[in-house]
Amino acid sequence: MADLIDIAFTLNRRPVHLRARSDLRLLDLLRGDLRLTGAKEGCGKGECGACTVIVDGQATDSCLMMAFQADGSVVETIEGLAGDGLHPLQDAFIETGGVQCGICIPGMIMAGKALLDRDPQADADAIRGGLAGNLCRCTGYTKIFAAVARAAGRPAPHPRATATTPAAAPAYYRPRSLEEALEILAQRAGEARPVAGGTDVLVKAKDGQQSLGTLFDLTAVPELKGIEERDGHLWIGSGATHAEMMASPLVARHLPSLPQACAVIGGPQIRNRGTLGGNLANASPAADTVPPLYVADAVVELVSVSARRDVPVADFFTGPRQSVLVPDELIVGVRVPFRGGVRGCFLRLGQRQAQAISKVSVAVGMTFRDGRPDWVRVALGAVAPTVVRAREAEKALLAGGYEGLRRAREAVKSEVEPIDDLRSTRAYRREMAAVLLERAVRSVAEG
Amino acid sequence: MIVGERIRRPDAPDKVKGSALYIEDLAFIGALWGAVLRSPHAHARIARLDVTRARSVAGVHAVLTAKDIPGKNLIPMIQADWPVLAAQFVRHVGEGVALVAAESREAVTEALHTIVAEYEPLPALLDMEDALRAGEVISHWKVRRGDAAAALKRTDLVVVEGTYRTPYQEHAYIEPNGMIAVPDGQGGVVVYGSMQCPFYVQKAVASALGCDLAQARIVQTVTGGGFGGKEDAPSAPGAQVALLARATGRPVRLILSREEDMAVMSKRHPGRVRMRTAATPDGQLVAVEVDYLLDGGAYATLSPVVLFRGTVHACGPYRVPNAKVDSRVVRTHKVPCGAFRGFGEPQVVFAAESQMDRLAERLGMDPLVLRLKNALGEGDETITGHSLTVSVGFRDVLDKVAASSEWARKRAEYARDSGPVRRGIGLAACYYGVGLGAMGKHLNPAGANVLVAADGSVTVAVGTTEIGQGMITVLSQIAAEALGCPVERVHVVEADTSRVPDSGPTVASRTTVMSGNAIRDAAAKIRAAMEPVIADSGLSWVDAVALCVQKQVGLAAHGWAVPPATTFDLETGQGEAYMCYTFSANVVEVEVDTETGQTRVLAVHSGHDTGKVINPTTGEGQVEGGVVQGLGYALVEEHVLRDGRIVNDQFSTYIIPTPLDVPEIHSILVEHPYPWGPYGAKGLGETPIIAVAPAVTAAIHHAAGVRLDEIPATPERVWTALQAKKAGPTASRP
Repeated sequence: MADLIDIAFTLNRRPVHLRARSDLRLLDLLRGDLRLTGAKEGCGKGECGACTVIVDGQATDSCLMMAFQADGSVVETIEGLAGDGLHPLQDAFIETGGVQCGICIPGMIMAGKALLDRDPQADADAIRGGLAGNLCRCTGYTKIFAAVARAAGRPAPHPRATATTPAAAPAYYRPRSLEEALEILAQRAGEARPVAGGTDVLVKAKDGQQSLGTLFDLTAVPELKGIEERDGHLWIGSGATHAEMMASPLVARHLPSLPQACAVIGGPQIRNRGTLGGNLANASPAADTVPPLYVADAVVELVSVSARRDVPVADFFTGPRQSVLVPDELIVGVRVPFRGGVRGCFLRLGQRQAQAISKVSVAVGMTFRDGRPDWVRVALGAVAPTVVRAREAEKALLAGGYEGLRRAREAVKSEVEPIDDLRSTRAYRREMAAVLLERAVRSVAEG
Repeated sequence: MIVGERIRRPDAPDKVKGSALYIEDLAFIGALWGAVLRSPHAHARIARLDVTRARSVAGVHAVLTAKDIPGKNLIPMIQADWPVLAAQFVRHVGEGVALVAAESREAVTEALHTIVAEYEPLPALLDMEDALRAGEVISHWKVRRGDAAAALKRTDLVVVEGTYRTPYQEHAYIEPNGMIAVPDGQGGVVVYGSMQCPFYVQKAVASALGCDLAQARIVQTVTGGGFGGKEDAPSAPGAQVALLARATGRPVRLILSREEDMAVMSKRHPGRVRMRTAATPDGQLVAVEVDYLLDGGAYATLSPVVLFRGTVHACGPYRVPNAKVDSRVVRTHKVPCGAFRGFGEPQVVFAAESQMDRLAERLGMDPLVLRLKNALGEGDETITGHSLTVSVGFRDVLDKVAASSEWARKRAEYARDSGPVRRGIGLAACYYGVGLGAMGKHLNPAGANVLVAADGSVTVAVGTTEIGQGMITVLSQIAAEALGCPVERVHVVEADTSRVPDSGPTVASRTTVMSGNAIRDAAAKIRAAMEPVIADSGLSWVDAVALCVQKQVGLAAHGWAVPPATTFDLETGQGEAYMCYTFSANVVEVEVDTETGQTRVLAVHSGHDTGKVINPTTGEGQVEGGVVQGLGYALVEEHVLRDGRIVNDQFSTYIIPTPLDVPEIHSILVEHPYPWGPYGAKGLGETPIIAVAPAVTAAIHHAAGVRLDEIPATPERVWTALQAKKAGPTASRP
């Protein structure tokens, strides 16, 4: 039996303070202890969005968040939406016929609310994007889009909720500083499992691939957060979420392919929780944030209680799901050298437009002098055991011109070693590496 | 008239508030957790099954095997082959072998791990062609009309032929299957659950427990999607959870995880169709020959009737004077396939409509013109010799989708696209016999009980179910119309086998017609009782009811609907296969990236002659949802199996369309009334999915010049076809 822990948070505008099992997900706490069954478990892996709630203003899959991670947060669920009357979104879903079997609807409405709270005048594209983390099998989405559009611009009956003071730190690993985190890790390395957004760890636990074990939550460590300029570098904390990287003007300026990569990851819920550090630690060859880091010559900052080391991103990964990270180490952040006038592009192919793992991805970074490329980086994902640089293609591109592009296309095909798997075929991936490379280069060159 | 209005769904407020209770939201004090030990093998002899140690795990209340079933180890379906638990042999991966009920999830898991199950693996039939060669045929249906063989030998005709393949399709309802069984204190059991067909579950529970049907009371809970996946398949967990409740005397809940649900519940049958089509040079269809094969999986379940529907609709909604259809469904060692929206039609319609597109190309004729030329109209006969006398709006549907899409203009304009990304526009059509038809006569009737309370409110109980499609809404409208009462006063309650006689399944686009007519029958009886009392008084509904109550008039009635009699000869495949037909056509516009093979669907114009539309909003909802399921089938959805095991068993690997994958959808509802249907209604649930895939591949062909005879039309397949085309005309087709 798991330990009991204290959790305090604001739930639907009311303070909640309770003791609960430490191994509960937020979804279990809501549905079980609190008997709020509006959030549904359609998959338990952050794939369907039926369990979407709003945590600190952000749409969140409550199946991918541990209950203790909600400590000190403001949580909104479907049950808190209606006041004296229905919330405008709820009314709009009824009026437009957006509801059929209804199982996805609480999650759909909460995703819609998170969107409209942030962007009250959301247009058609923003609405689709805001709902991209939610699956519905009945409606074909058409009337759901109409419902959110109808509710856009109509004021909600309640003011935005505000945070309450968090309770005393509960008895589990949720360090509040890097020092504390490293101490814990030094003592419990190999036993405590680091987790941030939970978008990989909790999925593997659900699959039974890994036991949840003792979770070591990094989301409250301030030193891992932020995106800033440091000593002529762009520094991105390992705790930066995909949504934060997408929204950062600094990232857009210095590593333009990275926000493009973040934008295609999962849906809004996953981007709100998943972090750069998590994406690195998981070490998937298909990780979308990694090719942009390769083209930027990024350095990964690792730290343990006794040492600190910087590892070039290309040396960080040693194979599929394998890296040089040792059990008592943490990824603090990533450093990217500034490069004046850098342009970049990230392109990928997936099985569908949202919530897709890449079949093949390409990131390109280039600078130009007098209209000719004078620095070129090309990296590809999902076509080799790790993300790979295409150095021959880079050389060809440096030569410039159409001939250079043609030679780069040929070169890249021999620089990748893709496999056949559930998502695609070897032959297709190899050819698409060339197609995407050409498109990315053209996009960069055309600025 | 309230029929035809866009009323708000009565079940929507609770659903948007999160207060609607689905099976997983229900709590019974003292309920145990149930679970199923499942076969890891596609085909094996159970060499040893020892549950003694598992029974002694702390917190475990029951561990059951086939030997512990008090009634029959059989789920009654069309053929008597489907066990509740495997006894001597397992015949597909995931087949139930033992059941556990325990106090906690942890105890359930421990008990499952403690059961000793040893298997002796046997050779498994995993390919449908192998199964056919091995003679493992579950059903074989035929249509014999005219002399197709002779026509196909004529030298004055143009003949096109093809072999078409379609994949497994997963229902992917967002709510996995789940059931809770509660002992009723009198030796029976009440089973609550997510389902389409309470009367199927009732038969399975009574069979397994060896009790009266009346002792197996089944109550449907709010159901999070079905699409056919909760027609036949829930009978297994229903019987299993009832056995556990009987054995323990406690409520037991059995809720499947997503992975378990995808691995073991039914699917759309994979199909292979060979077809030859002959026409005159001016495009008159003369003969069609069809060889249709479905992979049924390990047990027959509903395969015979799925196949029957595909058989009689195999040539599409056209006049075909000579038709020869041979259809077979075979037994393999894989998960049993069953009902899925479209029910045996999407596979064969993909072939039939691809043939029409091919024929149009060969004849140099516009595909729309070819369809219009051969379209069934009033007075024409189907390939089963069914003479269509009323409600045949097919030409009207074709005209309207052509107008909505500006077919002729775009067909010409898109053909001029150059560059790597090219647009295309394609067309496909189908028809769908409403109801259970000639093969399901014994399940055809449906009942309703209508009860008017003293305050004028009305309770309506029917034997069909709300699964999201909008049954409660449209039946409320029909009841209000028939009684002459305000629709807000009508309350359609959840399906419960103790309230109405067996009303058959909620399938086959039959609910509006069958339950609607049963309600009208009951309402007519109530109105007949009221009329002498209220006469021409002009009283409001509430006052009229009050007066009737004062005069001691009974205001409740049972209604019963039996469809018009039909005749059918299974040897020749001739007769009236179904009571009437819904007609449908889709125009799909796509954009194909010829460098990557990626297809983006720009728009779908989906037209349906569904008779009178009871509620346009729910009608459009059926069209939009069906079309998107059809787009998934056309472009991305398929199961991958290794050694009979489904490899992609979750939403990250079984790909369904997301909000970013859907195009503009134009729903076009055409109303050619069907006189026997309530207010002229036919059915609409299934047609929206059926003729989507062939319209998509026709549009891809128009855009990129490559024809895919296998779906899904993944970028890999389209790209491979484009490479083959580039390599030259002698290269083989994909």
